[in-house]
Amino acid sequence: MAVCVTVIGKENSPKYISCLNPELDLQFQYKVHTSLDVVEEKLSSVGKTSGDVRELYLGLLYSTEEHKIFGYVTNTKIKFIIVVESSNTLLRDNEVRTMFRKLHTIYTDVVCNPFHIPGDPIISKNFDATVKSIMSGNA
Amino acid sequence: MLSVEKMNDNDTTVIKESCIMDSKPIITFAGDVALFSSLEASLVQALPQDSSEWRRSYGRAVKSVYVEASFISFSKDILPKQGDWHLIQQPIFHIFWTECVDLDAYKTTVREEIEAWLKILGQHNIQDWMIVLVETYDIRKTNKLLPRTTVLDKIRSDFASKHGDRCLSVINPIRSESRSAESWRGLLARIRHLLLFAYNRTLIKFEEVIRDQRERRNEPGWNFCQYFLLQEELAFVLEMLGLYDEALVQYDELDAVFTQFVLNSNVGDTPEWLSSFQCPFENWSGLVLGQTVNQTQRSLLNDCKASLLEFRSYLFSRQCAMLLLTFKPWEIAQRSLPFLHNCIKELEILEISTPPGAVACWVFLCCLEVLQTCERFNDSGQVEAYSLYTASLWAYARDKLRDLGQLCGLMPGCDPTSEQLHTVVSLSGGMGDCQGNSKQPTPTDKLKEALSSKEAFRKHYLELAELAMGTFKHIGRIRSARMIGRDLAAFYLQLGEMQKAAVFLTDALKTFEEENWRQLAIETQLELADCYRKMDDKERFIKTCTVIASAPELNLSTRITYFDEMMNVLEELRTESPLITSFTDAFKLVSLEVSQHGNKVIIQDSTVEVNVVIESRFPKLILCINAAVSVEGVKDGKRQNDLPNPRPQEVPAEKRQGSGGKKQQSIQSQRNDTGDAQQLSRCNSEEMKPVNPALARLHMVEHLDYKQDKSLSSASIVSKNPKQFLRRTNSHGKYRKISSTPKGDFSSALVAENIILKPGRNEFVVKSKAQEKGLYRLGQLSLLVADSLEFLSSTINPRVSFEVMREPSSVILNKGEKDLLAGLEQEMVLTVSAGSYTIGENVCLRLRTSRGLQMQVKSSEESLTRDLEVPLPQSEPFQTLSILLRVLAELPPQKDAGTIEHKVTLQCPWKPEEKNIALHFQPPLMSSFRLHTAYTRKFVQILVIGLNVQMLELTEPTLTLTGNQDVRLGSLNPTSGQKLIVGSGLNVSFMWQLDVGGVEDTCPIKTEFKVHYSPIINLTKLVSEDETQLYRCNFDINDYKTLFVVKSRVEPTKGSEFCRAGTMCHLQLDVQRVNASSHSSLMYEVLADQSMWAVCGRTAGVISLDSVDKQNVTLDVMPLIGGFLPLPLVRLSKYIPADQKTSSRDPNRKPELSSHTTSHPRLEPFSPGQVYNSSKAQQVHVLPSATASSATDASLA
Repeated sequence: MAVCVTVIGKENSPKYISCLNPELDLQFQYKVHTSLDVVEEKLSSVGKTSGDVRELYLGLLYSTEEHKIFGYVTNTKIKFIIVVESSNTLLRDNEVRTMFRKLHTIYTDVVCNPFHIPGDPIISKNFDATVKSIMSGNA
Repeated sequence: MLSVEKMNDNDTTVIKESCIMDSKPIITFAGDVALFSSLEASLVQALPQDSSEWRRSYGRAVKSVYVEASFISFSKDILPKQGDWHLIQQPIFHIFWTECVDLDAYKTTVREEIEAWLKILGQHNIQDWMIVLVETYDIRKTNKLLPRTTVLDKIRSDFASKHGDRCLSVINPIRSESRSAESWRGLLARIRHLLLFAYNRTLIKFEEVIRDQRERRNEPGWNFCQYFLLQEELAFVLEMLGLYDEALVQYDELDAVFTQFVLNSNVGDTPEWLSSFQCPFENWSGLVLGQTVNQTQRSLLNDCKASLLEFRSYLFSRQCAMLLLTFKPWEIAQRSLPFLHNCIKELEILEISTPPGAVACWVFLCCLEVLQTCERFNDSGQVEAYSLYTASLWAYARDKLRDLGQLCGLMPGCDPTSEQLHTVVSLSGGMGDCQGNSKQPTPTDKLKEALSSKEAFRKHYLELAELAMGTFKHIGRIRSARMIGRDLAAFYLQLGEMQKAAVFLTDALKTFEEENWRQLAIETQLELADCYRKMDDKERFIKTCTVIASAPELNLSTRITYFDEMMNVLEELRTESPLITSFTDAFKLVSLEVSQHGNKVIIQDSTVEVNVVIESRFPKLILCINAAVSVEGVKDGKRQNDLPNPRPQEVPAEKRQGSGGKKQQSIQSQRNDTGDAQQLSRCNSEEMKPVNPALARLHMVEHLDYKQDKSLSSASIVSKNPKQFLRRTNSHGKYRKISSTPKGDFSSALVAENIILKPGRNEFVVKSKAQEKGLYRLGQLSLLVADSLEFLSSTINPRVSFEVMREPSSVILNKGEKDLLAGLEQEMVLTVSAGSYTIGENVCLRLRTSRGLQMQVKSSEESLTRDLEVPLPQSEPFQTLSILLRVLAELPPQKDAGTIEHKVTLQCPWKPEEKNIALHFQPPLMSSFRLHTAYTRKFVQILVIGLNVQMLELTEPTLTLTGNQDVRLGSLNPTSGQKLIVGSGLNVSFMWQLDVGGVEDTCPIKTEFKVHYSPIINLTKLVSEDETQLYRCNFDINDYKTLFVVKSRVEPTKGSEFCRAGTMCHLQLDVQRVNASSHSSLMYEVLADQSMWAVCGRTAGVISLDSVDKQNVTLDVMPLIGGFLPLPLVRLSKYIPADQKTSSRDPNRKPELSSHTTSHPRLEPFSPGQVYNSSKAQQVHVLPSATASSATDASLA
C-alpha cells in the first residue's frame, strides 16, 4: 500500500525511515523532507483557526505524478509521513487513516519502552516488522 | 411597422458579453408585431434591472436571479420538437401582444389569432405563455363609467380561466409614460416570474432526462460524449441565469463520472465509447482559459473525435470559466495540479500512446496558462490566496521544461542531434498555433521559443526556476525552494557555473543540517565536493572531503576515495597558515582528564598532563603532527576568592595547632562548598551532551479528592510543577545550532606531537609546564594534520580545569598536649610542610634558642643544646614532616607567676631570612620568703607555691648562706614522711631558724634556697620521675635583728581590783632595747579601737633611750564596754627631730633623704621584726560598768 513510511521528530529531524525499495531511500527522503513544508503550514494554520485539535490526520500533503504524500502529527508534534504511489487508485482516504493509526499505536509502544530515549532514532525490530507489514498492506 | 431590434448593449453584464454563447433566454412574440416592436427595446432593457426570486421544486434553495431575454418572432418552426433537448437556442416563453380595446374587434380578429397561437403551443405541449393587452391611457375615459366588460375580461374568460395571471393589461408607456409606470413594472415582474417558472418546469423535465440517460450508462451503445453535451446544456442554462456555482457543479459531476469510467476501465471492460479516447493524438495544444466555449473542441466531442487531452482541456477550461465568473482564480490554481496529475494518470490507465514530450508540452502549456490567468488578478488578497498553489505549478512547469530540455538536447553540455531537432519540430507542430502579441506571448509562444535554441531554453528555464523558488519562499516553503535550488545547482554545474551551483548547494546543505537530515546533508556534501573540485577551490574541497571521509552514512570505499583525495590535495595546498576546519564528524572528543597524581592541584613548574581520548572517524590512519589543548586562565574575581588561601607565613606557633594534618581536607571541602563554581578535572562525552529535558524526573505527588461526606472520591497523581514540562519550547532552539568556534588562544597550550590517529578510539597525553599559578580551564582541542589542515573542536564543555599552585613551605613549632613548662624537659613538635617544594637530601634545619632554652631531637641521644641542626628526610611536595624535639627551659628563681619568654630562631636552607618563633613557658612553681620573729629569735619561712596542674614532688630543700657571715641556719624541716608535692593550689612551706648571733644588722644576709623537684607522672600513685631538677632561688634577709621589745598592759587604777567599763585604767607601756640600735629617740602611738577604748590625754609621745635601755610610760585609758578586750595597739616609730641631721645619725640612710631635712620632726617606721610587740593579741578582762556589777576582775591573758 505504502512505499515509504517515516517518523519525523519534534524538531523535524528524521527518526525513522523505511522504504519498500531501499534503493529509492534517498529519493523518498528528499520528498519527505520537502513535505515538511506543508506539515508546518498546516500546523500553523490549525493553531490560528483553533479547529478540531484532536484531528491528527493532516491529509494529503502534496502529490507528484508518481507519488502521494500523506501526513499525520501527534499531539507531541511527532510527524508520521507515508508515501503511496499515485497509481494506486484503489487506496481510499480511510485506509490511509488506518495506516496512520496503526503507526501511531506502534510508535506509542516504542516510546513506552523504558530503554528508549525520547528524541533518539527508533531502533526496534518490532517496529520495523510492523512498518513493513503496513507498507505491504498486510497489517 | 414592426421591427425586430436586436439588443446591442447591456452594461450590467460585461462578463456575459464576452461569452461566446451570448445566450439569453429566448421569448417569442406573436400578435401585434408593430406594437411589440415599439416596446421591445424598453423591455429588453428593463428586464435585467431587477432580480426575481426563482422558486424551484424539490426543496432547492430559492435563488435571486437576474433575467434577460432576447425576443424573436413566433413561428411554428422554432418551437422545440419532441425529444429535442437542446435548451439554449430554444424559445422558452411565448407572449401574445395586442392593443385591441374594442370588444367587437376582439371578437372578430384577435380572438381567432390567439386561438390559433394557443393551438400551436398546445400541440407542442407548451404551457408557458402570456397574453399582454396594451392599452392607451385615455383621460377622457377615466371620467366615464367603466365598461361592463373589457377586452381583458373577455380574453381571460376565453383563454385563461384557470391562469388568470397569464393575461395582463398594461398602459402603453410610449403614449403616456407617466401613467404607465405602475402597470409596466407589473408586466416586467410578471414576465420575469413566468419566465423562471418556465425554466423550472423545463429543467425539471430536463433533469429527468439526464438522470434517465445516466442510468443507462452501462448499456451498450451509450456514449459519454452525447451525455456530456446533454448535461452541459443544463450547465449552460445555469450559467445563462448567472448561477455559475451550480453550473460548476454540473461540470464537476461530469468530471467525476468520466474519472470513474476511466478508473473502472482499469479493472473491468472498457466501454466502446471510451476506446475512442484511446487513440493516439497529434494535438497537444494547451488550455485556453477564458469564458468562451471552445466550439471546435465541443464539436469534436460531438463527433466523438476528441482526444483525451482535448476533452480534459475542454472540461477543465469550462470549470475554470465558472471559477473565473465567481472570482476564484485561486481555486483554478488549486485544481490545476491534481487535474494535470489526473490526466497523466488517465493517459497511463487508458494506455494511450503519446509522442515523447507531448504530454510534457501539454502540461507545461496548461501550467503556464493557469499561471497567466492567475496573474491577471493582482490584488494582494488574490495573490496571497493563489500563491499557495501557483508555487507548485511553477515548479511543475519547470520540471516539465527540464524534461523537454533533456529530450531535445537543450540542456547545457549537450548539442541537439538532428533527431532531437526533428522532435522539436514535431512537438511545436502539435502545440498548434496560438499567437499572442509581442507584449503578452502566449504559453505556446513561450514554449516554442524555449525549445528553439539552447540559449532561449536556458533563459526560460532559469526564469521559471527563479519564479518557482521565489514563490515557494514567499509562501514560506523553504524546503521546497531548496529542492529546486538543488536542481538549479545541477543545472549550473552542467553550465559550468560552479560558483552559482555552490551557493545553491550550501543553502540546501544548511537546511538539511539544521534539521539533522544527515543522509541528505552528506549527499549534498558529495555534490559540493564535486563542485569545489571543479572550481579548484582546494580549501573548501578539503573541508568537504573531511566531512565525507568521516561520514558513517557512506560506504567505506567512497570514504576512502575522498580521504585519499583529500590527502593528495592537502599536499598540493601551500598556504602559510594551516587550513582550519571544525571537528564536525571527523573527530569526536570522548573524554579529557587532567592527570593528578593524587593531588588536586598542579604545582607550579611541574608538568600538566591531560589525557585525551578522541574517536577518529576517518577510514584510515592519519598522522597528527601536533595535538594541542588550549588553556585559558580564569580571571574571574569570584574564583579568586575560592582559591585556597595561601597559608600566612607568620602565624604564632600556638595558633597553628592542629591545622597541619587537615590541610588537604579543608581544601577539598572548600571546593565542594563552592557549588556551581565546582571545578572538574575530567569530563567525557556523556557529560558533554546537553541534558535531555524529556528524561528529567517528574515530581509527582499523590492527590486525593474527597466527597462531601469525607469518603474518597478519587485518587490521582499530579505533577507539582507542570509548567516546567509543558512549557512550549519550539520557539527557541528549534533548529540544531551549527556554530563554528573561532580558534582560541593556543599560546599556552598543552601539546603532544606526532601522534598516529587510527580509526576509532585514540588516547594520547598532552603536556605542558605549569607556569603561573592560578586556575586554568581547558579551552579547545586542535589537531594539526598533514602540516596544513587543522581541526578545531568546539569549546570543551563542561569546563575542565586545573589549578596551578605555588604553596610556600612552612615550618611550625608546636607544643605538645600539655602546657609548656619551664624547668621540665618537654616535647615539642617541629612540623615541616614542604608546600609545593621537594626537600632534597642532606638538608638541615637550624634552630637557635635564646639563653636558658635548650633543645634536642627526641630520637637523638645527644645532650640538649642551644644550637641545633635538624636533618630533614627527603620528601615530595605537600608532604608534612613532624619532628619531635626535647625542650628544656631553665626555671629561674621565680618569685611571681609571670611566664618566661624564649625565642627560637629558625633557619631554613631554602629561605634566606630567619624566622623567629616566640615561646612562652609557664613556671611550674614559685617561691617566696618571710622572716618571722619570736622575741629576739628569727625564723625563715620559704613558701613554694605550685602554679600548674603538673604536680611536682619536692625533695631535699636546703637553705644555705652565700655570704661569710657568722650566721647559722637551723633546718626545722622534716626529713621523712609525707611527700612534699606542689601543684596548682598545693603549696609547701619550709622553715629554718636563723641564728644571727652577734652579727650587726647592717648588711643583709644572703641565702640561697635549693630544692629538688621532679614531675609527678602518675597522679593517683603520686609516682614521680627519677630524674630530678634543681630549683634555686636567692633570698636576701634584711633587718634580721629585734631592736626593741614593747610590752603593754592595762591595769585598774589604784584602789580598784578590776578594770571596769567606764572607769579610768592605766595603760602601762614598757619599751626595752634588746639590741644595739642607732635610734634612741622613739615615738609611741596608741592605736585604740575607738569603740572599745577611749584614750585620755595624749595618745602618742616621744621617749628617749639614749641613756637607759628601758622606759616606762603610763597612759590613761578607759574601756568603753565590758568583756575581754584586746589591748590597744602600740606602735613604735623612729622619731627624727626637726633640727637633727639624719645623715649624721644614720649613715645607712640615703643621702637624698637627709638633704630633705625640714624644720619639722618626722617619723620613720621600723621594719617588721625590728620591734617585737610581746603584748600583741593580749586581752584584758573588763567588768561591766560599776552600776551593773559589783565585782570586777582584771586579769592578763
